[in-house]
Amino acid sequence: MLFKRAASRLYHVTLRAFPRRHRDAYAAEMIDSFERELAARLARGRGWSTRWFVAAACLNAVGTGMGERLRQRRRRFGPMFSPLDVTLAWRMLVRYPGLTLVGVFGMAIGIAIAAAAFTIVSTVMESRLPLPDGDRVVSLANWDVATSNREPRMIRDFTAWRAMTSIEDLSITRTVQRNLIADGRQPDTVTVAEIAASAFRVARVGALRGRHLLPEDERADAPNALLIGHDEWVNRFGADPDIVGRAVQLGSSTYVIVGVMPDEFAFPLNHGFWIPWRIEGSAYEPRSGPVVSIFGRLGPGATIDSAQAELSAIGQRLTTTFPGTHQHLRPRVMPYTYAFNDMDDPLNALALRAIQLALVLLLVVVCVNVAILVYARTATRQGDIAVRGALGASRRRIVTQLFVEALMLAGVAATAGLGLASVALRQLNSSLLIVGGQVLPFWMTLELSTDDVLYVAGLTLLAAGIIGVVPALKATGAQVHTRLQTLSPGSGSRMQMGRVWTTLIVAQVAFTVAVLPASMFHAWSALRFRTSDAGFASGEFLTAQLLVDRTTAAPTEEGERAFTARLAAAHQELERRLQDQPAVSDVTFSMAGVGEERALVLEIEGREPPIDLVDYNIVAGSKRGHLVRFNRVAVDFFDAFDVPVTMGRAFQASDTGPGAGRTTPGVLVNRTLVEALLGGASPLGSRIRYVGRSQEADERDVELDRWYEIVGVVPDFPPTGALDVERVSRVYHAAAFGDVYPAELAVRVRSSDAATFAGTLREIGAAVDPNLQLRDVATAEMVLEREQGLMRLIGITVSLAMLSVVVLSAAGIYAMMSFTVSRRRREIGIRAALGADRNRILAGIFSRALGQLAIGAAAGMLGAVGLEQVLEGEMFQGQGAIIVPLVAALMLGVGFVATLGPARRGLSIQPTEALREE
Amino acid sequence: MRRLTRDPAELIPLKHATYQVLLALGDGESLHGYAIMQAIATMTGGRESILPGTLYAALARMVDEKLVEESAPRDDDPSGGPPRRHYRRTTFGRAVARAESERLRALLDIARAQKI
Repeated sequence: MLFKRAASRLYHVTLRAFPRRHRDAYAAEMIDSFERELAARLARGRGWSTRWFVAAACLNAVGTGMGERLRQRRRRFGPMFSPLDVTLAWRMLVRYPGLTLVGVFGMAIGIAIAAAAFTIVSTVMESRLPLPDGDRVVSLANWDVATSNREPRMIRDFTAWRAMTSIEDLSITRTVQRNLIADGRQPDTVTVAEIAASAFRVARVGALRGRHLLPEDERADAPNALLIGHDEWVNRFGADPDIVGRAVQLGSSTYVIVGVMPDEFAFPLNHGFWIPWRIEGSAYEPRSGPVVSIFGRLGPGATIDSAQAELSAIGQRLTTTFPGTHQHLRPRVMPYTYAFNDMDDPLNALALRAIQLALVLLLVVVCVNVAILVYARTATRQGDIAVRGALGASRRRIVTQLFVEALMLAGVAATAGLGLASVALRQLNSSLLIVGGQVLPFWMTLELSTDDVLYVAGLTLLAAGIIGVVPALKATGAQVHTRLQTLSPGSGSRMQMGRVWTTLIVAQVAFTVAVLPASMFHAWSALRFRTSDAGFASGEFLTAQLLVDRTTAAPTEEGERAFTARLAAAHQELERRLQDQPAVSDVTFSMAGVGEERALVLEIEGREPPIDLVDYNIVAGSKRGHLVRFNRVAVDFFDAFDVPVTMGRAFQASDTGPGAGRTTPGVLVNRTLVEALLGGASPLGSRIRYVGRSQEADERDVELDRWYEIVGVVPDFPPTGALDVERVSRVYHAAAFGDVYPAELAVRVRSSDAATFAGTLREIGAAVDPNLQLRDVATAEMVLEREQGLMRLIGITVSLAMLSVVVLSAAGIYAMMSFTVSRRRREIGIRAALGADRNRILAGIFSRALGQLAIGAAAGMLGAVGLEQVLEGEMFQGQGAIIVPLVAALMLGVGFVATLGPARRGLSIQPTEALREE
Repeated sequence: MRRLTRDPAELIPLKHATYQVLLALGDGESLHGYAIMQAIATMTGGRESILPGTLYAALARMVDEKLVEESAPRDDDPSGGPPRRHYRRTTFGRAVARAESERLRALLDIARAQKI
């Protein structure tokens, strides 16, 4: 009842957007229609759709109402502005190139950032699936309330959830990688959706050629069916018209292509290959098995709320049946896309919107700066404005003209901003997605849409409003006619900067000094990060992740042993065949790639661990110790990378295998660990153990509380400054074939371009074992370049934003100083005429102008110190004492330069001229 | 048959809301605003809807353009609520709706020919 009343009241208020005439005629009926519709929806339940209706109706009333006002206004007064206004506005752009450049640059950056943020936020928050009735497709997931994480191992739950009646065609899928071996093509690892046939009933999309997967394909004795996507059909199979019925190999199994799906169909996530689901869920223990996604379509009349109620009831039964595993699990139904963007948590959506709003506020700050410049320019046109007023131009007319000028400035900036945003989004698409190793879901595209352009149009109006209307209203205030009386040739403007503007400038100086140094520092770090040489011959190394297809049967201890043996044999054979290649000089492997080692907490025997706890995401064990990175590497790993052992011995074959099971296996450490943790003392013979494990370090790869002995020291690899900004302590363990899974393979090629060997590597891999997968085959150089690209993009974006702040701050300060000193020009002239000492006059001018700036700079420095304290030295990494005063000095310098010109002009004025003006 | 005083093509293409309202107001039917909202939802199987703000702005324009004619608010509405105007499609409104339908049909034919 309260909700209904509040909604009606809100709607009532929003109707004020309509012109009075429209309100008088229709408001009562509109409110009645709104309330009836609301009552009908509430009768069906107060879900999100009802809230959405209220929000949409209110926004619609505001939008339509404003439109009606404009329509009415146009009918009464004709068009809002004339072509002459546009011509004049264009002339102003050309006549004041400095202001045009600074204003366009600043606003273009602000608009680009705000537009890109809007695109990203809208893309991420997208809840509509582009399928027929896509809003009826839902995801089902288990939520662990104890850890606040999703539990994706739901294969056993799926069998129970199938009893649901509110969801039709409940379906399941998982993503696997397989080697695709087709006649006439190089083997390639492809991403395949192993999916229930019911998924195609959920999607309601038919095949372009042949058929989609059917329930009979799921039978164990049915022939292996493969469905392919349109892009795969065109790119891999040359759009072969006889594709249906063609046999290909996926891993070691032969599949027959049964159909091709239409263009742009990539359901469930971003797939181009689909094979039938043949995993028997009941064979798995609860909360075990592969990671899966479960989804379905809401049945007729069902809502997410009703489906949730039914699922919760089933969930409670499962909790009773499996208390050990399901005690903290709460199944959830959500719009399909929410399972991939985490928008089922309202806090995430709120956080995204908050970021978006903050970026719009950044644009507002930028616009306020430009408004100061425009205001200063408007002041110089006071006479012109007063004369126009005297000749009969209404205030509305003059404000409109000034608004059109601002709109043109903002329009040019918006066009440039849209271009910048488009380029940045394209860059982000290519670098971010490659680095993440993932592609976006098919319904997400990071590109500017019509909505984004409309949003930018809104931002442009907002910007034009701030930079045009506010100064225009001030400039055309009540005293405009009195100004005409005081207007005389050579006299300065009577407009004043006012306390508000002055306070804004001072606040801006403070803000710039407080925040800019940290942003500059971090932008520089981002630009510097990974932009230098990798520290090894990265062009000669071809890297790939090595995996072997796993069986879909429920895992057993014996099965795991057999798998490890198979993996070890395949890996060893692959290495042997690669070593036989004349083009290959070395082959090695490791658990993690170079520079990608995983974090652990380390304790050194006989040494007190540090008092401060490790500031890292440690999920098991203790945080009391030293944060180090660990890797498990082949015995010949350092040889292959030409890294010498500088102290002690290198790894030996006896450091792996059964011999390594002795009480204290040997490990190698890097130079930084010796210096940072052992004070440079010889580490040989020292014993270390791990006491805490981070989330990225798998428990299979590391054993906590086991002692290891340091047997050798290697230099920092990669060298500090190459891949790492800070020095990192590293520990290396020896690994044999089959010890690490997946393994990071590194093949050193006798050529400066290892990429040429990629095809041969794939062929050899497929020949050794069709189930042996080599993923992400690329040269080490290419991998680094991709990461550098992203970091560079971030660095450039932050740097541009910072540069725009500096330029605008400087321009704002310049305008204010120049303006205030110009106003005192005659006073300066008269004092000079009366014989005052020129130096004293100058000192007077500077002390007043720079005094204001000094207050701002001092406040900013205090703010910077405060921020540094709050962030415990994270902001400047010890460089604050240099950077903060530098920025403060820069701001003061700008103020000094801005004051100098007008002051000199004031001193050069002839006394007679000054007295005549008075 | 009454001759039209204006060419329906002058108003083509129609705004989506205008077309929706013209279709919802069947021949000879006289409906009030909320009934038009319901009729749109019903005739499209719930796929399309119209919000009161858009509806009444459209109706005001359509009355001006003589696409619909309105009757005085009635006090005897059995469903209660404030007195509501009823709207009826004019002959001109019907002709305009037909012209818009022809335009859309031509587009649809092109799409069908391209198997879109």
